[in-house]
Amino acid sequence: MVALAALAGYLLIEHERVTMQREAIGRARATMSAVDAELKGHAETMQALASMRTLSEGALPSFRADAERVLKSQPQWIDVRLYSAEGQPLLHAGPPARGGLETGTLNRMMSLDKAAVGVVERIESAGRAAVRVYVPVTLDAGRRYVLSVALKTDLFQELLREQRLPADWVIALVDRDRRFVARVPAVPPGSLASESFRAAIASAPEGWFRGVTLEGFQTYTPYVTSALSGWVLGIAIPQRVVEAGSRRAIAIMVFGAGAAVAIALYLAWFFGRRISRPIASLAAAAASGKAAPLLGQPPLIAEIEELRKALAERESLVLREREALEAAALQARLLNEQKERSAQELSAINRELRHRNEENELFVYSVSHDLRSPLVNLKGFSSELTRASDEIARLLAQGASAEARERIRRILDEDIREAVQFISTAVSRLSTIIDALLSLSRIGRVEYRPQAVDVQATVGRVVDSLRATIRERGISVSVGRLPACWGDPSAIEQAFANLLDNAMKYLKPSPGGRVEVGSQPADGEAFSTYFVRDDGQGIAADDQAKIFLPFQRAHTGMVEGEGIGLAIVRRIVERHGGRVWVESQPGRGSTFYLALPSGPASAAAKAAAATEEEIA
Amino acid sequence: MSSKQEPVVILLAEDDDGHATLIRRNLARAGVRNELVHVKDGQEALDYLFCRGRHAGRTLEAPLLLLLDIKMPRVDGIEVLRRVKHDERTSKVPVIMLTTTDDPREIERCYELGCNVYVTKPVEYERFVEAIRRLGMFLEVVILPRYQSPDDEKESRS
Repeated sequence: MVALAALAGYLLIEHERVTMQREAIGRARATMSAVDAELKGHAETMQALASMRTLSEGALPSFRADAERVLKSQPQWIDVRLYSAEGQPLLHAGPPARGGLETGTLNRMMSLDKAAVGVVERIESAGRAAVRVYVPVTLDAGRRYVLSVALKTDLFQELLREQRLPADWVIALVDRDRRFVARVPAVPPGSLASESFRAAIASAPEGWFRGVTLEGFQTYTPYVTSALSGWVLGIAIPQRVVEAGSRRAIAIMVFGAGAAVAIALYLAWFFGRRISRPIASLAAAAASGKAAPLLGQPPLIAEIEELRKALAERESLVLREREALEAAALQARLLNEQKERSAQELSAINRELRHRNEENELFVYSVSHDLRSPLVNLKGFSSELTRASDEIARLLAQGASAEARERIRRILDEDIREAVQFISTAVSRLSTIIDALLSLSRIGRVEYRPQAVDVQATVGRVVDSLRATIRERGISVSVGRLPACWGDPSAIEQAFANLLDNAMKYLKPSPGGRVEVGSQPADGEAFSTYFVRDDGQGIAADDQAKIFLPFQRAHTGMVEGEGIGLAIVRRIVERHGGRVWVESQPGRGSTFYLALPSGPASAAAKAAAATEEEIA
Repeated sequence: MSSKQEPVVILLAEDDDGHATLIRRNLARAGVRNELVHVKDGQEALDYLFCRGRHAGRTLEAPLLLLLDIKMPRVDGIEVLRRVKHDERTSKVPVIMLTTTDDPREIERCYELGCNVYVTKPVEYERFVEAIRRLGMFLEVVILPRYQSPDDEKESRS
């Protein structure tokens, strides 16, 4: 029995130790992969830098400017250096550093063609310790470079500190030369690791050893080696922590064994009596010849009955629990379905937002192009003016010869006049664009006074105002029956005016042409759908999505205008909760459709959605 | 491009007259004396390149250098670039893209399609002339010393 207990005790302690060891190595591995991830992240940023066009074009001074810029954005980087494939330094950004590339690192990296990590070094000009990451760069033309970045060791110190190990533990990261990259508690980076650490990690890439820390503590240390950097990470656990675990195991074991013996003795005694007593009373009854009280109240059977009852109760409890579980599962399924539905809605909203975002980007792109184009002229011709006045000043200084006067006259007449002409064109162009932007933003902000709108009368007024153009160009305009809608009368008038104006603008150049305004039979009560149809030039399928965006035109440069007419229509219709779209065939004409709320109910339903879509 | 005698003709496709004038003045100032043909959109540039439309009778003697604005009516500069680089008759014509946007995606796209140089307006004329000079060396662009006065820049509009 004692031997058995001793064996069990030993196994228990051993189990405790192995568990602890496993957990500690797991911890070390996890920390090491955080270190690896950090290094990889920096190597990736370097790859991105290396893929810059300035490097592939061999424009080293420009690449240096790129490197300076990236360096500024990377607080953990000390410098960026570029070497030739032979290890000769080509350029650097950041504080100066001496020397070429160490041959061992160079060869290893070039043969493997992947990033390499150096050993801890001190960068004197920056006054701090660093480790270098090297990335080989191969360009199409077969040119090869090595890009290198010095990373502050503080970065790794911080990473180790974030592990939040107990105060008396030690966590340390050493490089290939077994010098500290980082350690908590801290030591100067680059100092040599303890003898026991160096000896232990030389034998296997991963394991567990007993050693002494720099502070003189006895510890157990699990450690791992990184395949990426060749660095070793160890977590030194004080010996007494590990042994306290074993002592606890022994205590549990001893107490447990004692308790088990005591319980066994008691049970033996108790059941012994339970069984012996009825038999004794049976025997007594038998001896006295009285009726046996055996079935009357036999203590054993009563207990079995109790047990049965308890079991039955337990069973019904289990049943109830199972029902509750099933109900919960059903609930969960319903919740899940609801969640899926909301997820779908959410992804639809996301798609919509992404779409809006793309539109906004395109808008900003075209506006900035449209603004820049006249600015180029302003800038260019301003310096032309400066040049011309310098030239005149020079000619005047030479004395007023007839030849000089003639030259001055020509500069004034030709160069300066032309420059001023272009400058004034550019200025009015800029002011037109800015006016267009302002009117677009006004459409989004002006307050609406919703009411029933007589669309028939509204379109009639619009057609009247265009009479002159219609007559002049011999266009035939027909207006069908138009039901009323619900909205802001002046906004709706503007929408129709823009659509009609647009239709007439893009008719074929030849005289004639037809424009038709009408409505579609209502398919529900909520919206009235109107259309403006022309037999003009039509719009290519690719351009149909673009034309409702500001400053995007399908037929650039063919007619006057800023390209915001249809954008305004869309803005108005969407603020009403309606929709505008186009069907068109190039060469055969286009039909623009407008769906507007037919009554206050449908207008209110969509109003909230539309106000959130402020893009103008 | 074998003709050794014919000097390079610069074909400028640019819809903004102001930009075209600035380019012409600065090229002349830098001593680039080649004939400069100015067309106002991509379609006309293609017509010129492939001797179609109003350029049907053009002779094919002179080698070309193409300066392309990107945003142009009818056919834009990127489309012209694509077609020029996809047609073996014109794929060797050097192309300089000129544009007001420095959108990196657009720059990337132009280089992918095979443009030689991408210049962002407002043009840094020194870099621009340098680029033309570099491509010109390859094509024997006539470049005269800088002492020429600006009134030698009389245009040669087609």
